[in-house]
Amino acid sequence: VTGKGIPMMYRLRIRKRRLLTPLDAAAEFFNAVEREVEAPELDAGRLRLQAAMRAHTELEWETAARQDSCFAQTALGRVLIAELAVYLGRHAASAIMGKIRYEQPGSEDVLTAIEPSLKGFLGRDAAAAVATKIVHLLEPGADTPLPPLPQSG
Amino acid sequence: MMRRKESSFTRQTSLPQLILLGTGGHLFIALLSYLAWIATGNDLWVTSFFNYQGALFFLLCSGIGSGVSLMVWRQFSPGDAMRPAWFLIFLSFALRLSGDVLTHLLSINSSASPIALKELGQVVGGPGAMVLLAGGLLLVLRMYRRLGLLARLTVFDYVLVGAVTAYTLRFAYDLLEWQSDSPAPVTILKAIKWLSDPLLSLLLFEAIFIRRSVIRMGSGLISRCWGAFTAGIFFTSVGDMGLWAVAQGYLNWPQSSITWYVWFLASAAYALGPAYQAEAMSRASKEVARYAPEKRVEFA
Repeated sequence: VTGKGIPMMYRLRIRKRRLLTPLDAAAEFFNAVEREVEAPELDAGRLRLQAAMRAHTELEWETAARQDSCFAQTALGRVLIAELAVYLGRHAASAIMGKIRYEQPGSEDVLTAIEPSLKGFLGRDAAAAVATKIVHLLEPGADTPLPPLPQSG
Repeated sequence: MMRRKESSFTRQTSLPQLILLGTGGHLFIALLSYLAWIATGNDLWVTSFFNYQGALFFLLCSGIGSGVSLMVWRQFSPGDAMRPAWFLIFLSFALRLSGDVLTHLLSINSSASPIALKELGQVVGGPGAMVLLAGGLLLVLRMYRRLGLLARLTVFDYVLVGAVTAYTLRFAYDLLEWQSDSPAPVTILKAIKWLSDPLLSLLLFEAIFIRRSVIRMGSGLISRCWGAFTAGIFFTSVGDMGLWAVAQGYLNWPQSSITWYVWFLASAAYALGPAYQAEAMSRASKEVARYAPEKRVEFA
């Protein structure tokens, strides 16, 4: 593989796994304690926590949509926004790119930002197809024309 | 070697565009038949139109919706969050298609009682399909919420929600009043049919939330998909309110006949939903065909 995107994806997955393992353990511990104690206040606490997490995600979207990050203002950022806007809409695409805080992000930064929304609405396969194009646009020399689509019939 | 040349029309025209063009043409013919009826006073113009072309249009829309939503469901992998939603939507379209077949085809030439078949068709394609669509849209709303895209309602939305609630309560009141005066017994099919309006109100609640979230996302194929479902629910409500207004005497003949045409818009809008989703997925697949398999990204 010549592109830098795919090996980085693997690294990203490992990093994610490392991060998720203690979180999963914590969640399991929390569930065990909850089962043991059967305290209603724990339920209330969990609901409050979930509500706070949701509010945080919403705030993140709104903030990202309002203030364009450095990357979203670059030519490449605008190209990626146009690419995503075909599927998700301009505001959603701008908000996703607005989450990227670096001027020259790596493929993994962009993929981390776009994965949840694309996978959510398009499914794993179609999302991966869009992500492939995005990764190739991020690579140096991406402005060279792409080969034409194979003709059918 | 002979090479079949693809015309620019088939290359550039997508399924949503075909549905829009077909609906436009259908409504143009509907307008001509309506004008012919008004000009000549012969109602054969509109009855023929509704019995043949109108029935075919409903069947085509439900057929397209069923086929395309099945295709979309199959394109989602097991474990994808939207797969169950699309399964419910496919089942809803399948029931709608069965209802249309029973209402428009079998009840015309059948040895069984046409009224019983028509009533069964209305139950299957009405409340039956609505329950499944409501379930599917609930999962869609959950996805919007999970991604932090579920927008807060505005004052206008709250007014709309208030209007929907008022209409549902008014309908329930009218129904109770009418039933207490009517000597006819309540059958199971009749009781299920009464659920249509509360279910439509539930769908409208969901549609109001989805519409606000879709506006927040901007115009893309996914937004258009859910926007089309919202439009379908909105037109169904308008048609339903038209029926209620006629029954209550608020809308008089022949102005009331205009409300019949709203059902075509509702059917077309429902068919557009899966068509836009399929268009998004097909466009993505075409993009990836440009790259060698080893250069493609894969999501876990």
